[in-house]
Amino acid sequence: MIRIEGVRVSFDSVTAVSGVDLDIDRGEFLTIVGPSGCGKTTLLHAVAGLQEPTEGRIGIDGEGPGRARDAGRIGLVFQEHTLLPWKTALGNVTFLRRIAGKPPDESGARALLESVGLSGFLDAYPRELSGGMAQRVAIARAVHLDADVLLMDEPFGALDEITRDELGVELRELLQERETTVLFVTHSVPEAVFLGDRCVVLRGAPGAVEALFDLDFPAPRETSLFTDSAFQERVADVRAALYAEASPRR
Amino acid sequence: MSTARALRSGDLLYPAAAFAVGIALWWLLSIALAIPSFLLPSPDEVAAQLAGNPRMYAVNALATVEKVVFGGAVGILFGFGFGLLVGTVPFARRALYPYLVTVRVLPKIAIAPLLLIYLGTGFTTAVVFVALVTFFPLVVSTAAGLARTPEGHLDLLRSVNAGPVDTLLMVRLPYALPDVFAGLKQSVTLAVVGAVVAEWVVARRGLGYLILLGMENLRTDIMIAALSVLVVVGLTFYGCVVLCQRAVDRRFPVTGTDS
Ligand SMILES: Nc1ncnc2c1ncn2[C@@H]1O[C@H](COP(=O)(O)OP(=O)(O)OP(=O)(O)O)[C@@H](O)[C@H]1O
Ligand SMILES: [Mg+2]
Repeated sequence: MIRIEGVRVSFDSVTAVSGVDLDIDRGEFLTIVGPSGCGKTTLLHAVAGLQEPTEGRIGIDGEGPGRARDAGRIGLVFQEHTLLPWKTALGNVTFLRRIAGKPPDESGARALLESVGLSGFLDAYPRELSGGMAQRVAIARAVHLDADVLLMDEPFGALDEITRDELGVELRELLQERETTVLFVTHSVPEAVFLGDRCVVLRGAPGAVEALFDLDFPAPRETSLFTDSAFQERVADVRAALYAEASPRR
Repeated sequence: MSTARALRSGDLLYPAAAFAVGIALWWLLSIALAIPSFLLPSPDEVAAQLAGNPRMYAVNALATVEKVVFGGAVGILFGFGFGLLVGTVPFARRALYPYLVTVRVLPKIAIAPLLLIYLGTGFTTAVVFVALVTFFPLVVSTAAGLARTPEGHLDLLRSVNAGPVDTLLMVRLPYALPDVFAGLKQSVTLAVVGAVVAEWVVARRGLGYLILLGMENLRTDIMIAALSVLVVVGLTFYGCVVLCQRAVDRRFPVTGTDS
């Protein structure tokens, strides 16, 4: 379980987030939406142990993020695929696990790439992959780490809508039989509602939790959900929280 | 595209044609305008000079090559090492980088007389001088290249607690390779320049010395012959770096769809 308690992160001149409290269950898929600059990336960095909170604390099963990171429990996926251009898809997936000091598992990596539809591209270089394929490799790389915390910062942000929807379905499928806790930042409200078990709206400068939504749609999530009226209501609710007049409490 | 592109016939044809035209113009100038051959020898006189004294040109070319190789090796070794230091140790970078950049405005040739006093008029002085001129471009470009790793890759490596050596060898250095080679190309070019300058100051052998000797005796044919050998020497070194880069680029193709 991840526990974020009263976290504030300040840089020299700006405070990115302030007073953030969140409890995320093991295996939960939490989506995070919020306007640009409200500190979503900063919050992920803090959970990843890449950024020390100025105030408050973060615990991952009771440990600090630094220890979780050292134990190789944290996987990252960014908007850019950050694949090494001189390594093949397979090489990119296995290399991070090797650097993390975990026992190699090439057949696992192959199986993973095959399960995201890249069986024909194991030996392809990033320049030979489409944006969606490259992002699939990046996701496989993070999953192959056997990290139990997956931090995804607008992972589908650079992709077209059809690819995003496909990847969303695949991602949920991929994580189904794993106990991976996911923090997933996105700018797309429908995507946040479609993917999340819960969705948190972050707002303000500095950013703080504006609202939290339970999204108890049945699994597996299929694209047919997009036309479901309950789904669309949820999207409207999240939008309302996102665009409501600034609440007087701040 | 990083992949070596096949040479089209035009790639060779046009430069070859321009070369032929250049030689023809030279010929015309020296013969049609009847410029006295002690001022501008004709191409065939230069060729005859070269063909008539192969030993002299070979021995002197070798002497120059020797300075380039030894001085260049020392300069490149130290330049790369220093570049690694400046590029990877933040403290060293902040302390030294401003100086490395400003020193570039200093013409290294101006240092030669000082070296003369410190090291005398021997081979060592020439080697040190060549090393000095090759050193700086490589430091700066290596350090700059090491700063080019996309931030996301560094975050990724930090997120798995990668050690500094892994980070350097697996990610940062490959990303720096294009800059390192750009620096190397500058370095080898300057190494030849440095060797010639050193020969003007300290040596009694080498192509630079031969040019100087030609000047003192008003033998423009010797000077131009030595110059053409020098061009060949310079191109050979440059070509070696290019070949090296092609081989490395095949292994670490940094360019391409990259984020
Ligand atoms: N390393 C840093 N140094 C200084 N300020 C920073 C740094 N990182 C982020 N900030 C500031 O913190 C605030 C939040 O930035 P952050 O990148 O977390 O926002 P975000 O919600 O991820 O935005 P976006 O949706 O555009 O990605 C911004 O005002 C930003 O300028
Ligand atoms: Mg961001």
